[in-house]
Amino acid sequence: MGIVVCVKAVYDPEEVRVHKRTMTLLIEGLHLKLNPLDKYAVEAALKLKEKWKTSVTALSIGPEEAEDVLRRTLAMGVNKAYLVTDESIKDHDPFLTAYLLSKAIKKLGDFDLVVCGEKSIDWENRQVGPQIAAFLQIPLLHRVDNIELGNGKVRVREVFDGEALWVESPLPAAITIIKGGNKPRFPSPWNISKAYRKMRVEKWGLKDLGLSREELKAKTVTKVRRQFIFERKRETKLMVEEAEAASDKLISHLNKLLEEI
Amino acid sequence: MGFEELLAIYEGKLVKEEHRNIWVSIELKRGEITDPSLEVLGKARQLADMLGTRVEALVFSSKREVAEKLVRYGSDNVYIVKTFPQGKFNLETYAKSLTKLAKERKPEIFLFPHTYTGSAIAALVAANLETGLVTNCVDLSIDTSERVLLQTKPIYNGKLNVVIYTPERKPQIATLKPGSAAKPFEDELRSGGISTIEVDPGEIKTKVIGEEKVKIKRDIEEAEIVFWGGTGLGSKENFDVLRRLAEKFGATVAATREAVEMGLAEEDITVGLTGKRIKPRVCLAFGVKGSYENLAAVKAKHLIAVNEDEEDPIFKIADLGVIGNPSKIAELMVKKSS
Repeated sequence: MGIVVCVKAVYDPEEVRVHKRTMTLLIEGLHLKLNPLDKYAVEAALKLKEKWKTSVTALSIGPEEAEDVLRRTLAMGVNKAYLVTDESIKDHDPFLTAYLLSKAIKKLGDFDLVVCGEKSIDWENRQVGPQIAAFLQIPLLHRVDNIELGNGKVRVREVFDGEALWVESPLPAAITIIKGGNKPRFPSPWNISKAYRKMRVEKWGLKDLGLSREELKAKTVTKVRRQFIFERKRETKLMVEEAEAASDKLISHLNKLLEEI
Repeated sequence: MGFEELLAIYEGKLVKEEHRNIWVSIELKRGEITDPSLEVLGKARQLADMLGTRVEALVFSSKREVAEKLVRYGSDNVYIVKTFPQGKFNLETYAKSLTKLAKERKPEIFLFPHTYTGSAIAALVAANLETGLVTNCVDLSIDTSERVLLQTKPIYNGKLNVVIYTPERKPQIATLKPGSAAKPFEDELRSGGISTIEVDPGEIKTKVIGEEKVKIKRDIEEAEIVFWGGTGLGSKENFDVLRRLAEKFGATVAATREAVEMGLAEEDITVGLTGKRIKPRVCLAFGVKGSYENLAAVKAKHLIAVNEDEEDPIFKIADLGVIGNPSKIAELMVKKSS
């Protein structure tokens, strides 16, 4: 029984600024952080570890500096951490990210569950978790806040818009975790220090995954053409209406906003 | 393109571009077509007219009225997809069925509404077909010189927008954020084809074993939707109306420091400089004046304010302001949304 939890190192959108002339992100001096939604994935994996006495491996892909973020997962209680990092991985392509992560998971060996956060707060693609499942050809259990294991099966609660489905799947399976289940733990100072002094973050390059640059290129399916700023000034729209009409408009306006995810 | 290739196309021996048509995956809620699906359909119509191709809608439903409606909203063709095992929604079944259909029929573009289920199905289909996907798009357009779909999405909380395309693979798959395209008009005179197709999705490993309604109770700090009550509500009874309204919309209730001091609500739901800080997606403020104490703790993507005095500072920062009696409007909203 083994659990792999995939995490991403991100820059906080609140801290990032954009260079108005080059339309590029200004990240100098900023630190990469563990994607907040991935903390819930780590917590879910650790809860399963405690209950089922299994081991949890954290896996990430990113620049060398992402190592710090993996150390944080070690401090939280993860057993081992791996970082896929290679100079030739430059472009942003979630398809490629999911492909490389699935390759790394296969290399890690036997596993029963792959756990991911629902999305990252920088690009908000909601894509990598499901695509890892597809590349590993294992079932996807999506938007989960409750996991039960037993008899070689997993039962989860999937939450969609106020309705929930209980879904049963054989193992191995991939799970995307939503906020709202268990609260992520804070590592103790002692564990943080241990994670930095005594534990290792293993690094894998393209070669370790058995991939060439050509294969990397072949698995890059999208390209960024340009970047631009869409200036939106906050402008208040005032509405003076009879209570009757105002309430109707508010309800339809709210419903529209709630449809966004 | 060489001369021989051109000749082959001319003689009809070679179809250069075999991927044709724009597909739209339609979602239903209680048997009705959802608005985000119709918005995608409207966008697909525009793109198809630029490309000189057709819009084909796919819907997992056996009702003919739904298909007829999709034609009136802009589909040239509607496929009613019948799959196995029939019955309840299952992500795996839907994704495998759509993958199989797209493999066989080769659409050029495949669009989904960016909903929880739409984005997951799109991701699975894109991975299975080994093609590009761009999610949460706010705009889609065609680069006519290269015949590619340009997909615009906001990143870093909208601080930057990126235009992405899939240069070589087909179909080009995208999910469209709800509210970013207009819902098209229904054209009573439009005609189109309707057909039922049966797909065998192959082995399905997951099984839906139960369903339940959930009330997701979250801490205020984590809540996505917050209804925020202030002194303008006037009484404890009116504050309870706000609670009932919040329940209907799955929102979390918060109060201002002033309202708590007036005894309208309990201390633990105070939002303000001296209380909790929130950053919800939607914040609806009823009777909140908007003092510095109040506003310093709120960072909402969409802020809506209902209050009587037009001069209140909250109207300076709200996206939508409604001048009126907050408790009266809240009460009417409770009645209307039941």
